[in-house]
Amino acid sequence: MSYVNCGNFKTSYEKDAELFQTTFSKILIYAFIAALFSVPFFLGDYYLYVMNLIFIAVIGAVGLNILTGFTGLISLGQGAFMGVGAYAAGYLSLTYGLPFFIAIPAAGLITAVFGAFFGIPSLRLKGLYLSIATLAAQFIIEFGFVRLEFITGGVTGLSIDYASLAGYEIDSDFSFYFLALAICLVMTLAGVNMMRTRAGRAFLSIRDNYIAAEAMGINLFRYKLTAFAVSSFYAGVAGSLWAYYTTIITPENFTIGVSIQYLSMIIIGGLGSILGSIFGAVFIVILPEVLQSFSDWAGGYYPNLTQIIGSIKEGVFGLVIILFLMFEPEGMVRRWRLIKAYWKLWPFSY
Amino acid sequence: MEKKPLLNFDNIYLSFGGIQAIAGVRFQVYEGEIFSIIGPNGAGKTSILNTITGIYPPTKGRIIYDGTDITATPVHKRPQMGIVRTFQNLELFKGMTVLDNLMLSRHIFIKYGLLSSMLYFGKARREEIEHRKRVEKVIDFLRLTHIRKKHVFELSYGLQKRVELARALCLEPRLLLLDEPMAGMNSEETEDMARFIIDINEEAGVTIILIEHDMKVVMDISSRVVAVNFGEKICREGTPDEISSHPDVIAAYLGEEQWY
Repeated sequence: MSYVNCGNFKTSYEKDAELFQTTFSKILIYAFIAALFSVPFFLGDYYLYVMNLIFIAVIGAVGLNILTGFTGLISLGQGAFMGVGAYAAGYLSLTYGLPFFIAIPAAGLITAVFGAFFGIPSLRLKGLYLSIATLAAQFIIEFGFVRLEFITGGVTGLSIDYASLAGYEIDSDFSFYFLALAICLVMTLAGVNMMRTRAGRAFLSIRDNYIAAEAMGINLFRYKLTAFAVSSFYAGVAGSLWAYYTTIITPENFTIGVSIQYLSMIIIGGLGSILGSIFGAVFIVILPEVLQSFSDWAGGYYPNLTQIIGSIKEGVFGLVIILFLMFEPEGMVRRWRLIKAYWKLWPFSY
Repeated sequence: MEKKPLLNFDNIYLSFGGIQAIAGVRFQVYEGEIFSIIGPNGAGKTSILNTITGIYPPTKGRIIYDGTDITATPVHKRPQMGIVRTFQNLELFKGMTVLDNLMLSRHIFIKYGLLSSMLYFGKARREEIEHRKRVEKVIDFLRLTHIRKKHVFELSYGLQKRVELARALCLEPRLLLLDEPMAGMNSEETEDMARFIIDINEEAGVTIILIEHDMKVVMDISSRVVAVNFGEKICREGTPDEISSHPDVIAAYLGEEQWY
């Protein structure tokens, strides 16, 4: 399904390969980015906090989608890989005093190495079996967080300084917003570009038909490990951003629950779509906040409700995933495309 | 005239457990010919292709391609040497567009790395465009222009077969292995496909190994034919006329006349 405007004819391959095909969509996307950069001047701290969580989640979800949605390798270790990124950034900045703009990419690279290592079973294992192998990775790494005290500080965790740039401390929701937004934009754009070029096509071909992919000259082992490494790089960057945001890194922030949360983001958003990962991340981050504010509001009238809603919050999570799997298995991104297609013709029926 | 064979399939044995899929088949394929393998269902034809492309390593025997022994070469290295195949049951990348399927085939020719693809600027962009041009030539040749942006799963069976041929051509093969390219096609599509195969062979000079059940096509376009049954060669490879009149081949296809 691809909907292209009528009369939108290309005269060169350069034009045809562009990300945004029409002038209108280009204007829209630039306007959207400009809006993103200007909203913090109007929003309160709570909203900025939610936005920051969204940016971090988007990076992590794009990473997981590259692995699970594009390459077809299910991973239950995204939470642990984010933890590796967070601890790596924390360790590098505490021990070596590296500034954040070196520590974050370095943490990403370290996580990539971790991811590639734990991706080795993917050559032999597929589907469910692979997800169990990544589950093992999750628990091994989690165990490491608690036990490798000389690096991770054990259960008490690490406490790091805020990121600072030329003497300016990024210590508020407001200032962190711009850092997170910038990194998120760069990572997302890089992801989009990667997925529409050489490596991305190789990933997709492995997902769709690995036998044919190999017969067409794709080195399966190399590309599966690359997918793990790239995905973990994203997780590492997201984790290190998280570290700089909260400045306290403890093991319970990177449990199996986080992994499942990220998996649900990409399922709800749409597997195999960068846009889908963004939708999913936004949805999953906002959902508990909405439930929370609803229970706060309802609690004013029915005090008993607060407790009940508090306890069903986890359940709603699972319910939403099941509903999406049943009614929209291709995720929110498909809805989005349908809506776009509808408005293309509106108000005419065809 | 003594020619050097492009492919020497030298006394290959292949067995799965107790089943002998290929039992000592040998043949030579020369540069520039259309070499057909025929035989009843389950005769081991596809297994022969699978050993040539490396999906099944042979239990015994050697495969010599262009003077080098490729018996142990990994599957993904063989396209770089020019050995490319299509599959009997469509093995396309269904979630990708036709264009992406074909661009994937340019994979082994594309040089830029992961980082420049993330930036999609300069070198990566130039190379993408350049390979797009090569792919478009194949699209033109196989008349796929109207469907290039469609996802593969949307297409009819005949078109999917053609896309698969196009995907193989984008790899610029020297030895093209076609596994039943006409299976399930109507007579018009079959004729088109036969024409394409002849064109690929004559214009691009690609050597072709063809497996096909449509005897009319096989006998029309092949330079030489070999017949196999139960993993063994039934007769010497020969011209279509020799093979079609060979008593053992007729016996394999029609059954033996037996009088009790």
